[in-house]
Amino acid sequence: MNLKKFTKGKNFPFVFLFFFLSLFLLLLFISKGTINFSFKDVLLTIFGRQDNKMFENIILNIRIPRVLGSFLVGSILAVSGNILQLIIQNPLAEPYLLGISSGASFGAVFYTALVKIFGFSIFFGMQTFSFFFAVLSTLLVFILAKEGKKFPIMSLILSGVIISFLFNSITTLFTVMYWKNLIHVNIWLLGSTSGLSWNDVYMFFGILIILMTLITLLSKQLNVLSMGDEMAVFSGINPEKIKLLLILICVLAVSIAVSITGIIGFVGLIIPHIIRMLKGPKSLTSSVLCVLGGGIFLTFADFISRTVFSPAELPIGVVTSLIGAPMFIYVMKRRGNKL
Amino acid sequence: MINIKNLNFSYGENFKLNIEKLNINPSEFVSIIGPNGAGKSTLIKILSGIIKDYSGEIILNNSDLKNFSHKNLAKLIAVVPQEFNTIFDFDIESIISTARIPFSSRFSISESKEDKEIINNSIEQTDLNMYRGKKFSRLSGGEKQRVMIARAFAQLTDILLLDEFSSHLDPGHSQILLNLIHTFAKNKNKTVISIFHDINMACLYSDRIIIMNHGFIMYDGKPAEVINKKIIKEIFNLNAHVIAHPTKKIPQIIFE
Repeated sequence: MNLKKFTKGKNFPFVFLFFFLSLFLLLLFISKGTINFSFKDVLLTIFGRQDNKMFENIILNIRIPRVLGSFLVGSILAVSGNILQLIIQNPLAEPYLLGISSGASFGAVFYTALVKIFGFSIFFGMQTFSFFFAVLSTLLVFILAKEGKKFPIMSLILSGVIISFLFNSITTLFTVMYWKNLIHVNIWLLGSTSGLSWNDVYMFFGILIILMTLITLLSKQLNVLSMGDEMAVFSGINPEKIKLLLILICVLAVSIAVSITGIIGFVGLIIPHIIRMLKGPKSLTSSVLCVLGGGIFLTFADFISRTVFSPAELPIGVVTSLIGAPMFIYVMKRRGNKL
Repeated sequence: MINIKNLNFSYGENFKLNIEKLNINPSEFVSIIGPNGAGKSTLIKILSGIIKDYSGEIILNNSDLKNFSHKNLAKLIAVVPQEFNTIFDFDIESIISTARIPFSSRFSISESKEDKEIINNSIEQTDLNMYRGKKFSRLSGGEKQRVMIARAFAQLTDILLLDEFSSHLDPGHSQILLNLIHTFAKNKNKTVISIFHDINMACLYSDRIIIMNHGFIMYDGKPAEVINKKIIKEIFNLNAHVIAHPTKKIPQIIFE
């Protein structure tokens, strides 16, 4: 069957197909890795019938949280990217546009420098610092962009660029001063899903539920917002409030993800593009598909990052960029001028 | 229907809107004409809730515009903008369905049966049947404005604001769409306020013409009362003859 014809039909079978594809891929990526398991072993473990304790331990406590965690981070990044692109009405919008990534890197580097200078260290310090600075840099972007009671989109984008430059240059300064201590930070910054635990999985799942609930409740409003502020006013919506609420939730979600996995680029940019190209821009449909699409993309990238140079690992951010950039060029050339 | 008193709004140093008194009656078709920068669009923006920091009093259906929520205002006033575009690939039904948002409960996911019927009706009324499922962004300028008119019809409001909606269209499309709106408005007793650049169009369709310049209302009356050689010269600095329409008893201008 012609793929394009198929994807133009009703949304439901498409979501269903995507859902089962995701389940199958999750199973596949859980079973394959530095150690390969059979599907049977994985399924036995999931249903609590695994007799081999070592298999059970690796599958249950290392492989599954890592694969599920990657899936959820991919979903969060793609959904947030989709929402931001719709609200900001700019195809270049992605979760990192508003300064999140530069703030997060600064936080991580700043923390490491503090450790070096003052011998000061706290539990989960790097994560806490990067989350805090990711949120801080976004707040700065909003303060800078504010005009009266409004946050014009162009000002937001420009402020994002300026704040990113500012944080990135201080990050570079620190890196030059303390480079010996910062190599492991650099690797962390490029993204890693290797340390994901069940606790991370639960947290990501909670964040995703909050995001999707909000999108479901506000789906009509979100559709109009993507048609512009004036259209929103004509349709009886106060654009500023809903825009702020949605952007803040996305920023928080992405900041938490970034503080745990580092900066994983391209997922939030390219997955929403592809999804909207296939199934149109309606907010709820495209977001549900982004959950699955982003998840599939990042579990695949995670699979590549841990298998290609096994037992060594590639930073997952490098993998997503290596796959994402050519994909993005292909999509850009194919889509003509519509998003 | 609409009563404006001492409306003041300034934008930057050079632009000031100042309307001492303006009353628009129910089911009137009123046109606003005037040179660029006269304040026509600003007035429409204030009435549609986009500009809020004006001073003075605007009474809509016996209550002050300042007390209207966006939602309640959208139940009373529908707008056809000068031009609408979206970078996303929405189908025309998605665009038209936004008109029903003010009437839906806050957290509803899909349209009610009633809303779907209203949307279908306005698609029929505007002859858009063959465009169902088509992407808005791929339509021509005239087709886009037809969708925007369908959208405004679907809002089922008592007041329609038209912001020079035909200024990018060829004469044929302008006439078809204006006939569509005029018939709709007269059949359903809608109040229409429309900005025109084309003085002849304004004369043909309006019960009343308001002429604005420099933020003030200069003349206000039936087409035959306010369109004459002297006023056209004074307001537009345009040398024109004013003649009577051969079949309708209204003035039309021709360039000198």
